[in-house]
Amino acid sequence: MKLTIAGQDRAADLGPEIHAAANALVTAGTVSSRYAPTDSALVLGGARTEAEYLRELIRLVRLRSAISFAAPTPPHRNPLRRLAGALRAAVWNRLRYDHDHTVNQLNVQLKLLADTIEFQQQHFENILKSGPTNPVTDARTPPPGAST
Amino acid sequence: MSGGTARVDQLVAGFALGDAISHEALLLRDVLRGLGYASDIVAPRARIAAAATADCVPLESWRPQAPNPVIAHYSTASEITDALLAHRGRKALVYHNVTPAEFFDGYDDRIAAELRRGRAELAKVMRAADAVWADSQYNAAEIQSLCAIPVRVFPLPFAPAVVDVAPDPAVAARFSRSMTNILFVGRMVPNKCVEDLLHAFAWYNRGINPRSRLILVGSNRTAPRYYTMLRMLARDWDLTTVCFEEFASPSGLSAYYSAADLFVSTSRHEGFCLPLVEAMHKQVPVLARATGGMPEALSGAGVLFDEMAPPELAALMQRVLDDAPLRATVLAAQRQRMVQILGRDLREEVGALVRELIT
Repeated sequence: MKLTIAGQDRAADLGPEIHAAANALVTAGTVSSRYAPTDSALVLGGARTEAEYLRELIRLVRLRSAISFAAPTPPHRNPLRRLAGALRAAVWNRLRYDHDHTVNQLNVQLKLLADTIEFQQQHFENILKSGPTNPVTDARTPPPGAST
Repeated sequence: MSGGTARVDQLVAGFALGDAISHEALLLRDVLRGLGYASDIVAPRARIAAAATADCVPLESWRPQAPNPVIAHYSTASEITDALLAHRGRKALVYHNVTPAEFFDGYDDRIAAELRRGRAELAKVMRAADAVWADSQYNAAEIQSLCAIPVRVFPLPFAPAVVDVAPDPAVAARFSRSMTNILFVGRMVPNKCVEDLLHAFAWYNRGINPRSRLILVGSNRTAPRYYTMLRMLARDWDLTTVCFEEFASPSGLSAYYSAADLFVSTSRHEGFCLPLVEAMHKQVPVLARATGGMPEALSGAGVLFDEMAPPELAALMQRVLDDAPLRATVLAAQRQRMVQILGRDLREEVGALVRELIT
């Protein structure tokens, strides 16, 4: 660890305290991604070309093409707000049918959109593999000398 | 008129408001004009931002006159390289560093190729220059081996007027002090490693202070694929208080700095990093990775770190935010640093460099 505060090297005296505080955070295990490391957005940083990036992006979007139904837990510091939060959650559980119905439709739309992007990308890759096409008719350009 | 020369123009690879190199070119132009030189900023037409055309002459219509010197700002390959090499007058090069192309691989193949070409052409450009100025010791050390002449250090100038404007009330209202505001200002590009900051913020927000916000201010147009990755990452960690604010006007920028409790940069490649200076000027404690030109920008002020895991950086952020004596020490050192920065006589420095270039 390197740590310089206002020009003074503080790695030796403040470093262990920072390290201990960080260890306490890790032990509490408070940060987790919704996805495995192989499916994290960070894998996009490993792409070497734009084409590779696009393939990975489409794969990741496919995994993320839905809105979670699970209700989040808002952070509350004091007991009164915690109680208010619990009341709100109780009311929400009685009223959420309409919301879930809408979100379900939205999720289907998002899935279809992700599918469309993936199919379009596959289509373009197939075109690139099999040679140029006529941009108007989408028909293959015949090789030179071929009879039409 | 100084030195008997009528005109000193500047060449830049691109020109846009809010960009650090464009900002320096504007300051230099005003100083040069104040010294009695005619001076314009020149950039390829396609790379002049629409909002900045009044301050920049298209390269395609630029007609240089042989005895007049030019100052070229170098940060990547562009059409200005050929114009500079063809110029028959004296040439000064301001080296702003070339970002390693590997950062852009996958995010933008065209920019990555330009940066590789920028590195490859560097030696040729350096040899053609009559004077080489670098905006930090870090940049000077990197290129000295390519130059037969000594590289002069001319630190990136800072104009307080840019952030000393009335804060945008709309921005100020959105980011009131009811939450802890952690700020980063800079273009959203891969070498800034904003993902490291997001990761540290995730630990801070979840484990230490749920009533905290991360405010990311900077253009996303240079590397939109990188920006997409950042937004996806914030969603993966379910970080609902990360605010992607994009490009800010001067009044917006002033409001962001006024609302900030802490400025953090996890960038891994910087030639100098002007936002650190802006944050110090606005009395915001600064945490920055000890890499590139950032230690020089802080120069004994702020907090420098490296080799820290995200939870450790989160713990350090908490320490600087909550430990009042430590925070006071950091702010006092930053005030001292700002006295140095604001005490620079830019007119004298530029005048001496230009006289040296001409003779």
